[in-house]
This record gives sequence, C-alpha cells and structure tokens, in this order.
Amino acid sequence: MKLQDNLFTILSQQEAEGLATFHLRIHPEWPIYKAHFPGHPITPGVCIVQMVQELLGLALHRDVTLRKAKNVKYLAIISPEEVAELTVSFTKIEEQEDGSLKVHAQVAAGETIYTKLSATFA
Amino acid sequence: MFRDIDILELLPQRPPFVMVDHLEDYSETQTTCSLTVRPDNVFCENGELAAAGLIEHIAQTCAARLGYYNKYILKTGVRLGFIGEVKDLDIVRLPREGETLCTTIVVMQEIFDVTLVSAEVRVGEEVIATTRLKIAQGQQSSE
Repeated sequence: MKLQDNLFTILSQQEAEGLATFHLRIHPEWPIYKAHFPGHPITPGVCIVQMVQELLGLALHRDVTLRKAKNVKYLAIISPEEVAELTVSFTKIEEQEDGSLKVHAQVAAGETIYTKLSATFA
Repeated sequence: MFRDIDILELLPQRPPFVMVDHLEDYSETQTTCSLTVRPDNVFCENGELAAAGLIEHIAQTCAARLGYYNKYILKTGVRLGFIGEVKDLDIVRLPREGETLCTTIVVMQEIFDVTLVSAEVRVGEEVIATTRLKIAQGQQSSE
C-alpha cells in the first residue's frame, strides 16, 4: 500500500542545501482510519515511518527501505480530525561507505513536533 | 489454549489493519504471537512485508499481551494503544509472502500505562528483526 495519494497528498516540496521538505495534506477519509481505531481515528505510528520512507524515495529518485532505527520518537498523536496538514523535513541525509543512508527527519505542524526519526535506509 | 482465542478479542485494531493471527504464548513478562504474511496484507509490496508492517506486527504482539491481561486477568475491556518509541531497530531482512513470523516480546519495564519491551522476530530458527518498543495505553476501545 503506497501511502501517497491514499493517506496524504503532497502540496509542495522544497529543497535547501540538498535536504528536502515536504508539505502534505492528510486525508481523513483514508479507510485505515476506520480500523485504527473504530470511532477513534489515529494515524498509525508505523505509517509515519512509511510516509518518511516514501518521501525519502521521492527526494532521492529511487526506492529506499528502512533497515535500522536508532530511534523513532512519537511525541504526540496525529488525529486526522485535528491535523489537516503536516510538514516532513529531512535534516540529515548522509551516505555511508556501504551505500546506506543515515537519515534524520521530523514530522511537524506549525510549532508542534509529532515525530522525530533517526534511522538508516538502504 | 491461547491459540484458540479469536485475536480480535484482544486487539483494538480491526481488519485490514490486523498484523497478528494468533496469540501463541502468554505470561505477564513474555508473550509470543504469530503472523503468516499473505498477499492481501495491506503492507505487502513486491512479495515482501514492508518495514512498517513488520514494526506494526511487533507492536500488535504487545497489544495482544495487554489485551489478554486487561480482558482475562483484570476482566476489564481492551484499551487503545500507541507506539511511544521505536529504539535500536535492526531489520536483517524483510519477511516474504507465505512465511510465518513468530515474535516474542519480553517486558523490560512497566510503569503505569507505559511498557518497555524488547522484541525478536523469527522465521523458523532465523532471527530477521530485533527492536525495543515503548507502548502507551490509552482509553478503552469502543468495540
């Protein structure tokens, strides 16, 4: 399941010093919200990881997959009833000797930071 | 037998977002669940379960443990749960369609509604992923 155009659409994409920032709209009608959870729609934490993975792939123009995570911190719940738009910013994308990518990313809306991720993708 | 319990009795998630088939073993400090990766799994792509699906499977193993405890021991209802943190995740390889994952979580710490576990995902004897998870419990499920 691709999350792009299901859970979110990209409103804009910017790039500064080789690091991408995506501005997204969240789709509250996404069917998974009825399953997670019935009567209490909440964006699954793992879908935030997949969203970051898909956006990293778009920024780099190739498919990438999560291999390791130092940490993914969920600081606040993303309810589609309260959060209509999100900003996903990459603050570090560093290629390692083995070709893998060390990545720092943050998911926020205005002043509120929802998720911080420090992980390795391949 | 734990395996005979309908997993939907223990989880607040509903299909198609259910990433555990069976509770295989339960104790207060250690729980094992299984999942067979089917092509219709929402996280299946190119014959593999995506990393997000693998992490969700581990998180729902934690949810099944808490669901069993809440339902069969405390005799209250199943509660919503959230991932607070994924830490030291190492994915050796992604699971493939048709494979059965067997995942064991060990409780490292439990303070009020927050549980810290270490987890190991196996296919047969092969360990394909390890991680630590912090899970927070919320309100009672409305189902």
